[in-house]
Amino acid sequence: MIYLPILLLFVLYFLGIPIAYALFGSAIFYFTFFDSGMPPDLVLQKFITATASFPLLAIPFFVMAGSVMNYSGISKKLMQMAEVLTGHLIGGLAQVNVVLSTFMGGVSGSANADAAMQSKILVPQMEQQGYSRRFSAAITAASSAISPVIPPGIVLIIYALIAQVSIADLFIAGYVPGLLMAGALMITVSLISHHRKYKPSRDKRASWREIGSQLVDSIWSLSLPFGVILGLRFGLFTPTEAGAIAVLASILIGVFVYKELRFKHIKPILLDTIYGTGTVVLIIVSASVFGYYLTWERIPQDLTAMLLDFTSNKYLMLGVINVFLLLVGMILEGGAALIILAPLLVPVVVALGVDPIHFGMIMIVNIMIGGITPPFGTLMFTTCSVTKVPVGEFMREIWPFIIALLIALVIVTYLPAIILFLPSIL
Amino acid sequence: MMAHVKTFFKHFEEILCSAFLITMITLVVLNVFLRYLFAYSISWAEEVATICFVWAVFIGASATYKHKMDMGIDFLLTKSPPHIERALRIFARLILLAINAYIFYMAIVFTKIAWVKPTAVLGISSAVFNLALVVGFGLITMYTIKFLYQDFIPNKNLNTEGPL
Repeated sequence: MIYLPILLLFVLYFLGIPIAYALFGSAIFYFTFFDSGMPPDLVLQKFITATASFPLLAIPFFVMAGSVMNYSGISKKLMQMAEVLTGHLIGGLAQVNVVLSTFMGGVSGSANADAAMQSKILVPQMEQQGYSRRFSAAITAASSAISPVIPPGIVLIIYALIAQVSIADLFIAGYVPGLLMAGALMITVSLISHHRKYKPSRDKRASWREIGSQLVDSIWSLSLPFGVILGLRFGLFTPTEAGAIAVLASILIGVFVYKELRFKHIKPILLDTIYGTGTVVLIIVSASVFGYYLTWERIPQDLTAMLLDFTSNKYLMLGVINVFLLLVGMILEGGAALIILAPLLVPVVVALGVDPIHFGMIMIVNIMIGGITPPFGTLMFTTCSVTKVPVGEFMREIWPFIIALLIALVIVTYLPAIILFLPSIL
Repeated sequence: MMAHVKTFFKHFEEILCSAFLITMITLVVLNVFLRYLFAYSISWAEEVATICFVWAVFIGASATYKHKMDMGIDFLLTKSPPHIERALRIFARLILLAINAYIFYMAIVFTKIAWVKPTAVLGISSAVFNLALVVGFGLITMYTIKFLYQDFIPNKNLNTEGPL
């Protein structure tokens, strides 16, 4: 009986009710109709207290910074840089696609926004150069799974707030898993491209001079994320302030350095931010209202006991959790899955001696893989809808990339030393 | 003039949220600068920024709801035959209406309770937070009724596909 709200959540979700509404709907159902000893209007208080949190302000700020960078020419500079670096490789534009997502990770917090942007810009270019559209869509979706892992990013902020770990540490820890994912995808692209004879996008490797001059041109775009992370690391500002400063910095770069940001861009930037904040934060708040029901029924404790009963071997446990998360990630939107499950799973793994920062990386990489996996991966839906590739065709092209990312996930899971190395020395 | 008023009401949420966002960001940036340049900080900045944020979230939620931009899946709906899809849609929309109207109602009740409680820094009524929920879910409930009407009386010019 106490699990009824969980069942209800899935029923509502499959009926087409947005995830945020399904979450608080089933929580409200519980507190109204179950004799929980808690007046339902106190749930409303949870709505407000969960929202009125200064650290959460970082989210609209980073969403806005990402949007400003898009309009201020920063994304374009990053794409040129990616092209100079990898255009000469076999499967040139597909490689550019992966490297661009890796660079974009520093400036955009949202995998969905990246997937949409690259579907619009890169996929048509790839088609022109002889790539099949469904392959282009698949690599676009797969590569956009990288950007949330590369700091700074909203998903990282959300996990840090839930697991109560340092945002700066988590940011720094994101580089290695992000680069591992990029490496795995680039190898896969190159294997497929050899087989299908996909050509490079430039005749020969860019000279050092070319790379150098492109680097000078793109330096502002590339260094902005580092500025934000260093500022956090040295305690110059809080994460929320870092977000606000990132907005200011990208406006200044857009206006004075790249001279592309115009008055007419203010409206779309504000709209991006409003809609981005409206959806993401509502899910966070709803998930914490739903989490209120879970803790009220002591479900996290039960789950912990059950899992620890099953095994106290931390490697086996991480394996089991990974399989579970992959299944969840296929159904639920990544952010929502993270917000609901992190509070449940972090205590379990910490009890077994897993570092919460390491576990954060496992969770985020894992959930992003779920996002490109049929049948319900959200990144898959975004890419398919923008590129008009049917999901069935997409599925035939995505599996090599899923395998590649799963290999990266195994490395992230079982070699904590390479993940925790950077946060420990910096 | 009438045209302006009309545009304002059509984009009411967006205009309001923009004002909140700009206030938030200005206050936070200003405080960083004041801290480093003059070793001074505005004590109420954080609270006002947080109030703006709460409003931006719930009014923004109403804006995304209005445009059906919330994340959901329409897998079951699109896989059903048309008449079942329509029935499912109406059924789900009625559930949504019940949820949203109930939250709207409880938000009003809760605002009354919170009216006398002062906020931490400014000492103003903490109903300033709760009212965001009232306005946000008031609008969301209104849109749900509008969508429900469209479910019953389909209009060929409207896009009624996708998640709710």
